[in-house]
Amino acid sequence: MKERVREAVAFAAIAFCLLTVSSAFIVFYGQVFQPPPLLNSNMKYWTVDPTKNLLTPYLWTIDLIEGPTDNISVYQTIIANQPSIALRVVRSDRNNSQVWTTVHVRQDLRGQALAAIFRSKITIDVYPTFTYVYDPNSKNPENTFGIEINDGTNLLWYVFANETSQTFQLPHTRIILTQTPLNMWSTREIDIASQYDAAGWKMPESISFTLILGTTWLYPGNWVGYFSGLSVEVPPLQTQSLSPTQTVTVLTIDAVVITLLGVAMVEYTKRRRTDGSRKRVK
Amino acid sequence: MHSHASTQHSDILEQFTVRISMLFAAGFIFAEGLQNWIRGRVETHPEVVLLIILTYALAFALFLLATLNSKDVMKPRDIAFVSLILTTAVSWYVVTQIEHPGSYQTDALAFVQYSAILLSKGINPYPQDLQSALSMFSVSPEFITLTPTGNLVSTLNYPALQVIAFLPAVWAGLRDARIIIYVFEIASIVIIYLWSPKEVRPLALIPLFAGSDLAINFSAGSIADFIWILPLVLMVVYMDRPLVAGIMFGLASAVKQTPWLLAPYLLIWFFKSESNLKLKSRLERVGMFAAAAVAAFLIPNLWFIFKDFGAWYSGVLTPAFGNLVVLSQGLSLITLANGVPLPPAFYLVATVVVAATLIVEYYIYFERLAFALWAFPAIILWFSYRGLQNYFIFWTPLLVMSAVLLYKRSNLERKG
Repeated sequence: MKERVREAVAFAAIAFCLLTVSSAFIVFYGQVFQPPPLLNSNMKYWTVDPTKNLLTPYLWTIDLIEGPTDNISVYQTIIANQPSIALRVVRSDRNNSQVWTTVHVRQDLRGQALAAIFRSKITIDVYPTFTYVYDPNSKNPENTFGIEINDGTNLLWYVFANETSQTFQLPHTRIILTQTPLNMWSTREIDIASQYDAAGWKMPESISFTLILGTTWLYPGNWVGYFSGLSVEVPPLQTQSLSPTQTVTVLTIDAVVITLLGVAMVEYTKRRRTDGSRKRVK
Repeated sequence: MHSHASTQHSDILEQFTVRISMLFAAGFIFAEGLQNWIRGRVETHPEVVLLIILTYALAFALFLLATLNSKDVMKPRDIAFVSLILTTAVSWYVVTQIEHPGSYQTDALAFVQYSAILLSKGINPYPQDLQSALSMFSVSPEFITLTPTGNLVSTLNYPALQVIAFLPAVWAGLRDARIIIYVFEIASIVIIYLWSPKEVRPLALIPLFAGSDLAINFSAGSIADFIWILPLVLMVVYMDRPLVAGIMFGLASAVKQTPWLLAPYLLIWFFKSESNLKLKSRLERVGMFAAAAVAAFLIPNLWFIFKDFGAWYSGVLTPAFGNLVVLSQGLSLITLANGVPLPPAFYLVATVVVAATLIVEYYIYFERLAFALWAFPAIILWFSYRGLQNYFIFWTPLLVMSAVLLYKRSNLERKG
């Protein structure tokens, strides 16, 4: 009797295992795991970019738009107890061949990564140190600290500064000014897809996701801003699910396997008992 | 008369296994000789040329010895073992000093050694950002681990004993700490070999050297799993003493999380393996093993727990509960290869339910499955969404010991 209970439990455990795995398969089937769209988002492991002789966070590219007398630097630092990446621009004078002196820290996204970032929630900690200046008539910016999404045709800017939040829609350019206190850390959220929708732009084939800091010739000086904790949360993507027929097929296979296993166990037990009683007779 | 014939037969069989082990060692040496010729940069490293010539000479000597028509073949019976150890040393040298000099093939070892450097200065490595280790040990970008949010892992993700194991290398001023892994590997293999009865030693070697990954490539390539294998090997040696076995299991668990998977099966082992004992004695065995294991796990971790419990907890439990990108040679390959769309949650359910089923089956069919427990972690991890090759093959030394234990038991039954 005890032996029968043991065998029944062993059989039930295997059947339960099979049914649980099958149920999980039915429930989870179609949820696609997508690799993170932005890689090394915490910007660690700095390597030398030999083309520019610059220390660059692994998998990121740094672009410097500067005149001969300007000075730009990108470096890791700790500001207000938080490890961060600093973008610094020193525009020495007004007389320069460049209108803008800007630094970009960017990653290019296309394909699966692009699709993922368009449906992701992006959060970032920002530490602005200067006010946003723009032409009151044309609304064109004169400096910036924030994030740029550039698809080659359209430009989406998130600017973090202490002015009242507002949106500027310019030709092929949309600027989201997000009120952020100066000289302290604030967490901000970015939703690229909704801004593309609001601007009436189509989803592009590729984008550059860029941390940006810059100033025009009108505002020379020493400008710095800090970023930290860039994080992209990609929600699970349900691409498909099993049809009722497929679900029934999976469960039928389970039933067949469990039945065969049960029959095999019963046969095995019978044979063992027969062998046991033969031995006893001998 | 019958006994004499039986002894003669076993002598002949033993002679045959010694010959086969020599041929096996020769085959392994040829395979490694070719690999060393490919990776050894022979045009600029004359010492590699010399080593390759010597290893080939050794292989030819083994060919001749194995086929010598004389009983004297039994005199150098351990030559296959010695040859395999020498070959391992040569290949280890070529991989670590010629092919990848000063550069680690895993970020994990870089973080562990860097943590040991910090610890030698009295700094608790768990709350530290260890990213400097990646450039210090020239970790190739392809071996850097990412989380699902795209962050690069740069913290210590192992229990503290793994770091402590590398302290001697730091104190000795060794820039390349892979020698520590090699020492643990050789110690494990030597113990298994010497612990095995003389007549089966040649056979015990074969699974250990059946592939270069276990014997050479993984350890030389900076996978530090032999550091927890050694205490588990010692645990099997002392399996009849729950206190010592518990200490060894605790030490193995204080190196890496992988041995934790064994815990429920080992508790069943100590409860059921001495079935002739009374229930109270069996429970005492379980209690002694568990208490010793917990104490041996906690002692090396204690300082770090007191210093910063939060950092230690998240460092030690992060890899145990996932939060890393999907990468696998296991079942989740069907997803990784863009075939079957399933999220990590599916593989987690499968892993947990398979582990639970194996616990039930192990308890019920203990008489039959008792010695299979070393295979269980490999099977369980094969279902996980991060089922890597080293999660499977590093159980081989312990499975060899299981086979030897079964042999010893059969021998005792035959004699008894």
